[in-house]
Order: sequence, then C-alpha cells, then structure tokens
Amino acid sequence: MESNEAGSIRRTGIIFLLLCILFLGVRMSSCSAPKTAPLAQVVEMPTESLQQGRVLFNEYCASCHPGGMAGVGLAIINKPLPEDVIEFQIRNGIGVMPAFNDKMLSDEEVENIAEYLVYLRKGKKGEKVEH
Amino acid sequence: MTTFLVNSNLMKGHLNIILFLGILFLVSGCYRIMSSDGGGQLSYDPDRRNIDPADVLLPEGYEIEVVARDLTFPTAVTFDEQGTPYVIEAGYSYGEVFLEPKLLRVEPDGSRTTIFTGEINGPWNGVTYYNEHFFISEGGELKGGKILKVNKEGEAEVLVDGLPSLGDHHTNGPVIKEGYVYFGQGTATNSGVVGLDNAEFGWLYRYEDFHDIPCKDILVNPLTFETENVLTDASDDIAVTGPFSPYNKTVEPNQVIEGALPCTGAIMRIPVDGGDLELVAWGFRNPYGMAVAPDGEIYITQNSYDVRGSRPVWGTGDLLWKLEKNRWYGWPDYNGSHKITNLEVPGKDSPAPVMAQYPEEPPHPVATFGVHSSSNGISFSTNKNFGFNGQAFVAQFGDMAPGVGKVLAPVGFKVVRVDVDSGIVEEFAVNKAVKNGPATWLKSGGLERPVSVSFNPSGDALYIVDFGIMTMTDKGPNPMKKSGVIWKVTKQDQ
Repeated sequence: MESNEAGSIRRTGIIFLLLCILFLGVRMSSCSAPKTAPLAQVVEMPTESLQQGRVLFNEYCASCHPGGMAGVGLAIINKPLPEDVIEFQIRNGIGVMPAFNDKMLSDEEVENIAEYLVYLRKGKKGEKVEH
Repeated sequence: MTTFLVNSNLMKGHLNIILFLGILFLVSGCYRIMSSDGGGQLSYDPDRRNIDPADVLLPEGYEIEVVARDLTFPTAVTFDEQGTPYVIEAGYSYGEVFLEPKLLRVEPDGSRTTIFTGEINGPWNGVTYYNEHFFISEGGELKGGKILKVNKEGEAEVLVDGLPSLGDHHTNGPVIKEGYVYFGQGTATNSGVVGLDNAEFGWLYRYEDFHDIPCKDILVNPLTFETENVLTDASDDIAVTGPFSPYNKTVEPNQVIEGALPCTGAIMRIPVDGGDLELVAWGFRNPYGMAVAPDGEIYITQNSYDVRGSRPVWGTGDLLWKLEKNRWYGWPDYNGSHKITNLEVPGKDSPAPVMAQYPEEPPHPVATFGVHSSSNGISFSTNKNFGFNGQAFVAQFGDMAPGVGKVLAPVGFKVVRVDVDSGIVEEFAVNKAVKNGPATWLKSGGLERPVSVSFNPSGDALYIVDFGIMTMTDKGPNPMKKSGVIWKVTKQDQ
C-alpha cells in the first residue's frame, strides 16, 4: 500500500516536473520566432485559401501577434500546433485571448487562418507577382 | 487485442491534445504574472548610440545609409523643389523634456543649417513643404497647438493657434491638399477620462481643467471614476471624474456634452493662406501620421488605446484609416470596427461605454498594426523603380511598455509597408537579429525608434527619421538628446 502511494506521488511529481519543463519551454520560445529577410517583392499565396488566411490574419490576429511573433500575445508560428488545435484556440480563446465566434469568423475563415499560420511556420513566403 | 490497441492509440491521441491544450491554458492563464519585456525596458543605461547601417535588414536589392546623426528628437523630414532635405527637431519629448524646436536644412555632408527656431511649445510633430513654404504642426504642450507657415528666410506666421494640445496627444500632420492644410489633433486622454496617468505625464499639474472636447454634441453615460486626488495635499482625498470632464468633475444623467471647434481627436483643415478652421472628421484617438496617396486620398495612422489610467483599454492595434469627410471614427468606444466595450482587460472588467448614442458605425480601417507599435509617420511609394508602387510605408516608433501596457516582446521599432487594398502589412526595414527590438535592446547599431518616413520628390529614396533612444524607466520615458538619425534607403538596381 505504501509502495503504491509512493509510486503515485512519484508519478505526480514527474508529471508536474514535465509540465514545468513544457511551460518553461513554451515560455522561453514565445519571443523567438525566426526572423527572415523582408520580402523584396509583392507576393501572393499559392492558393486562394492561403491568401484569404493571410488577409484575415492581418485583420484579426496580427495586432497581438505581429508577423506571427510575440507582442501583446505569445508568438504563434514557433510552436508545432496542428491546424485543429489552432482552430480550437481561435474559436474558444484561451486565457486573455478573446474567442472569435461564428458571427465574426466563419468556419472556413478559421480554417484559412490556421492553414496560413502553419504555412508561415514552415518558412514559406508565397509567390512573386508583378507590381 | 486489435480493438484495445486502437482504443489505446485513440486515447493517447486525445490525451496529447488535452495535454497540449492544458499547457496552452496554463501558459495563457499565467499572462498576468508574466513580466513586460518592451523595447525600452533595458537592463543597462546606454551612454551613447551605436550606428551601423549593416545592422539593418532590408529586402534584397535595397541599401541603407546615414544622412545625418546626433539630432535631438527629430520627428519629420520634408524636401524643397531641389530635393534638399529639411528636418525638424521636436523641442519636446515625453519625459517632460522641453527645448527649442528647430527647422534645419540638412547639408550634403550631414551638417545642419538652422532655418527657424520656434518657441518652447513643442513637440513639432510634422512638416511639409508647399509653394516655397514649410507648414509645421506645433504640438503645443505648454501654450496650445499651432500650425506655422515658415518661408526659407525663416519668417514665420501662425495660421491657427489655440488648438487643444495641452494633454497626452498633440497637433499632428500636416498635409496639403487642394489649397488646404489638413492636420490631426490628438485627444487629451487615453479613453476620455482624466486620471492619474495624466498626472504622471505632467500636464494635469499645469492645466487642472483640461479635458477632451467633442467636435459635435454627444450624449454621455454618467460614468464615474474614483482616484486618489493628486491635486490636494490630503492623502485620503478622493477625486471623482466623469468622461469628457475636468479632473474631479462628473457628468449628470442625460447630460449632453457640447461640441466645439477646435476639438480633440479630429482632423481639421485651414486654407494655406489662413482663414476659417473647418472640421473634416472626428472620433480619432491620436491621428499622428498623414499622407496624400497617389489617388489623392488622405491616409492617417492612429495610435490606439493604452492600458493605463482610469479607463484602461487592452488589445487594440494601431490603425491605418482612409479619411472620409464628416465621418465619426469611433473614439472613445470603438477601435476600428470593434467595440472596445467587448474587450476584457486582463484582471479587470471591460470598459463601460462612454457614449449613450453613436453618430454612426465607424468606418472599417484600411489596416491594423501591432498593439502599442506606435505606428506613426506615413509616405506612399510613387516610383515603380523603387518598388511597391502605391503601397504605404509606415514608421513604427515602437512600444513604450510598460507605461502603455505590457508586451511580451518589443513591438514596432521598424518600418513596414502596407498594401492599402488588402490591408496586408509586411516588414520593410528591421534590425538584424533573431528577436525584434530597437538597436539598444539588441545591442546593435541599427534602427532605434523610427518616427516618420518620407519619399524624396523623385520617389527614388525613402528617408527614415529615427527619433533616437528613449528608454522606459520607473520614472517614465527617458529620451536621450543627440541620438536621432536620418537614414536613407535606395534600391540599387533602379
């Protein structure tokens, strides 16, 4: 019995330690999104949904996460979040981040933003257009 | 067995997502205990400014050089018919530094010749050259804002004075269009209520009755905000202040605040040779930068709300507006198309609405910038050889955290460009580093606080006016004299 309790306490301790390490890791990475050279030309995204995501990101997200990096909010292009989780976060908001309901953003628009963020995280820039 | 494995894997997948969301929740929930890490929050005291163009990152094919250095609080550049640059030194900076503002001609070797010295009533926030005259927006922190008209011999006349610039924000702009000088007038306060933040700025002790003035009659809610009364010696004295009211004065239920001209938070205009002042549009917070686009429309940058004072507002990005005559742009209850009354301030309630009725729904902004980025001066590219023809270039002074609110990393401190059709904002000139920040924060020699940008008359060079070092200390902003720089960006293959 004592052995089980000790094991349980040990497991709890390990989980707590892991949570602390993960927390610190996320915290430390929150301000260090990779910086790339500014674009030398006007670019468009390779798909309509990505372009739409880019426009929506600028309108709804970039003020707190300028360029996807940390500002008032955490950096959001330096974490391996799957699109589903990004969409969940946009819809529900977490912590101080407000939720964006379906009156503000349709399901398709939320998906477009999530797709664009994953695209940004992969360091892609888009396709050059004449200007 | 197979079913068990599938279930087990599914459970693991769900657990991973739950764990990940849990971590996110944990991180986000700790926002309130995270410390601010703004670009002016240095761990050391910079005694001088390093300047090295090689530390500035530009798009491929562009180069940057230093045109002038050792300026004290420069805020804007303009050009005469020959393309000679002229710079203004503001003569005032947050941190309550008062100096003589100056209009200076920049010589080819970077030295300066004084054209005109103003009275101590800065900050001079903008200058534009038109028809052999310089038009200057005099901020008017001590005596009220003015629009000055100065010729090359240094003879000045006042086109308008008595503008309500004694508070947080000043007289801005100007631009010339169709025979009129258009200029911006910032608000007295952050969000309509005089409070302790205004005492920290310094002006409340000078002008106890100063407050915001609406441009047209407005019906306000009888909100009251209690603070320590800093204007009396009694330590337990409480001041109760209402919106659009002097400090320690309240409004009655159903009270209409009378509109007046001049007013705060507005774009106004006056003929270039002087004449009657006219209201163009109202409901701005701090309309700082102004530029006439190639299509003749006027665009305006707006510094949005801070998390300070009796009515703090959280999470509102700076805005780029297209000016539409006679429109109301939403201050003090909206930021862009969004009501700030829906924005919860971390650890506090959402701001209550000040206005009981709105003149209209505000227009939709052209673009949104980073919260606290202090997106200021603006200029349009008109030369295809320079590139980005028709796009707006905007100087971002950078955050003044923690005074304006908390940031988790420096915001601004660069020049961005905006596609005004789509609202997409991209970096143009930014410091080389893994992280974003001013040169002193990065301990490099790049951009510090870009405050305005101006293309030269031929459009083949972009001049960046860099205000210089301003750190944020326990006592507030601490600007450094003789740390301002003018940079020049050109494209090499044009």
